Amino acid sequence: MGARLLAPEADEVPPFPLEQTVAALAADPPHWPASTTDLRRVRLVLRFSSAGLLRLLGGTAELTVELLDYPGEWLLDLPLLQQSYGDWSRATFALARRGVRAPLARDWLDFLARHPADRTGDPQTALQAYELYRDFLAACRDREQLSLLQPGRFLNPGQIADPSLLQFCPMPLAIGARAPPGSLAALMEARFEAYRRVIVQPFFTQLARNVDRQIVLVDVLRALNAGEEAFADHRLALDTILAAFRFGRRSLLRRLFGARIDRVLFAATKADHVPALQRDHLEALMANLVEAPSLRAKAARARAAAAALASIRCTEDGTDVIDGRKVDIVVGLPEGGERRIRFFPGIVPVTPPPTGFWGERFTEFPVFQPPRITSAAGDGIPHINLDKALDFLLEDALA
Amino acid sequence: MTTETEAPRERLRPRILETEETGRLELILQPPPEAHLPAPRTRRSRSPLRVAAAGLGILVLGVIGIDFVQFIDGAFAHGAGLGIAATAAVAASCGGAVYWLGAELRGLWRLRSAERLRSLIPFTLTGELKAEIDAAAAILAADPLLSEAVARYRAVREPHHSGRDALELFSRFVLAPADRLAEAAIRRAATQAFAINAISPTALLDTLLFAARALRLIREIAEIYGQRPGLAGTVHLLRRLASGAGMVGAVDLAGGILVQQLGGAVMERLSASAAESAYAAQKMARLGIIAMALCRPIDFRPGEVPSLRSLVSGLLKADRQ
Repeated sequence: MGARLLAPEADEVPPFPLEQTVAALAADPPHWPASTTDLRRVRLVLRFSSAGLLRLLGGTAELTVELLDYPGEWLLDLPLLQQSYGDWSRATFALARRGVRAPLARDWLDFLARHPADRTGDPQTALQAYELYRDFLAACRDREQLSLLQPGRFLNPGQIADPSLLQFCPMPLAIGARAPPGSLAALMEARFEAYRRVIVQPFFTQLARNVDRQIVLVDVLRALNAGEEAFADHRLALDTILAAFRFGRRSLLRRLFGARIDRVLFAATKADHVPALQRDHLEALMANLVEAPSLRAKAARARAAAAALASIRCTEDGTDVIDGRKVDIVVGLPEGGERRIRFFPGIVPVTPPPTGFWGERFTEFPVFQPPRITSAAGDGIPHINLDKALDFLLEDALA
Repeated sequence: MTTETEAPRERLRPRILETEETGRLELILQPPPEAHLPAPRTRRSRSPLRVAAAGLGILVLGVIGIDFVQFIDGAFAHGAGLGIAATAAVAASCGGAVYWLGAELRGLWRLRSAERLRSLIPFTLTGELKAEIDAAAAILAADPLLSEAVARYRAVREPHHSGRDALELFSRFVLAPADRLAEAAIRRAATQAFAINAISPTALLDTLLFAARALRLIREIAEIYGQRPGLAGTVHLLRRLASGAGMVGAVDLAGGILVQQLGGAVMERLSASAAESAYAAQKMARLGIIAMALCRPIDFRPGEVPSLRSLVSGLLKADRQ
């Protein structure tokens, strides 16, 4: 029946700039908001006519929804809470030495070869090693579209009071070996522990206390077109993150001792880059990718679902003939362009593709301008499946 | 000997194609599907009629209870055997009443489940849609007329099907046969309404017979869609029917087209009485379509609503001959 924005609370979480974002999208030409770089919060009060027992009392009901937005990369830090520095280092080295990562990691690995782990640790060497490692992660992301890039804050640090907390990287440590006191490895390990204790742990404790519904946004389409290794890496990153999620049905006891996620929606983003007929495929592929965590969620009596989602629909469907075959495409105006383009996103498979599927990488995904919208409240913005996603997440609360 | 085989067609890769079209998209927001939101309740004073009915109900229950106690007491005064027999008879009647109440509640619950499902489907994610459609299949599986159709649907539904695929299969394998059964029931009722109007000596009798046949048609249609409504379910359906103004509008439109198409050529040739009978048959058919829309676990999709013409035209042909 109605909704209103609550004033921001006087605490350390800054508010999400909702009005500015909508105004930028409604401008001519429109501007997409910058990517999320820190934790933001928005609180809404929804007033609704209850269909449940409240209806008998004859009144309307209100629900306060608190939305927390943070960089998705930060979720990659969640598994670190369950890993020791040695285990994490060994896993990272194993990854860095194979596939497309190997050539990108050469400078960092060469540097570590010149500065052994048991050599006396000095902050300058640690800083250099950290910078090389961070550059390696950035190259993995930008050149190869890889996703499992830990720690998550290295590429998206947010507000960190003490930057030295980030100045560490994996060091070669044998299984069961301990870093000698005063060594470079010991310095790195101490910083890793401080990073977990000061940054990662408080963030996830805060989330665990407040969050019982989660939307995991996954750019499946980009991963699919970035090649076999990038897709496999995307899956590995998802599996790694979701293995650390705590699912469970909502109960009073659990609210007292830390909430668990009782509804999780795995959303394949950019649904508007795919014509209608292939959106079901995108959703099926998303469901397939998260089959194991979905089963785990269901076993814990939580609910999990997959969806293809576009919070702002920037295209309309059409058809075209490519190589003599009639195909469905989407049409939209690219950002900064004047002429509309017709985009064919390829064939979206319903299951993770076999080896023969992969061909040339396609990474030039168009960024479409949003359609003409107004910033007036209640006018609505074209979307794909956002209503269904909200219904899934809030249906019981709005009963 | 050599055979040439066609080379496998290469998978189409993503690509961007230039166009001459310019300008930002003007996407028109689709109107939200009807949400069947309960109307905001305003505090009303209690209806005197309801208060009186509740009071009378309590009085009747009290009188029946006291009568039962006195009946058992009197029977025991004549002997233990008679008392036990009286107690057993009272227990049997109470059991019967509870059974009836249970059947009523079950019927009402089925009806509500179908309505809930119908309201949920437009908002459901396609993955969840499968579960909702399976719930609809479970309701219809209990129906002896449709259990085979449900079994066929379950046989063809594969785990990889999306929610929309499941909806398509459900419509094709389960709802289409149910619709055909419902249409046959409507045709029968329309024929009878035609005959009732033609032979009824008085308008009052005509109205009463029409109402009774209409009630039977509504219950028949509800049963076809697995509802089996009792008294309470039938009352609920009638209330929904009375409030289904939107659907009446849609069917009226179809009725208008029917009259337009048949009006000139056919209606003129029918006698005044036959024209009234044809109108009665048309009303019955219209009622049947609305009852179908109310009882179906899934809303009609475009093109699925049976036309009045298809339901009544056979009847008019029969009359002309």
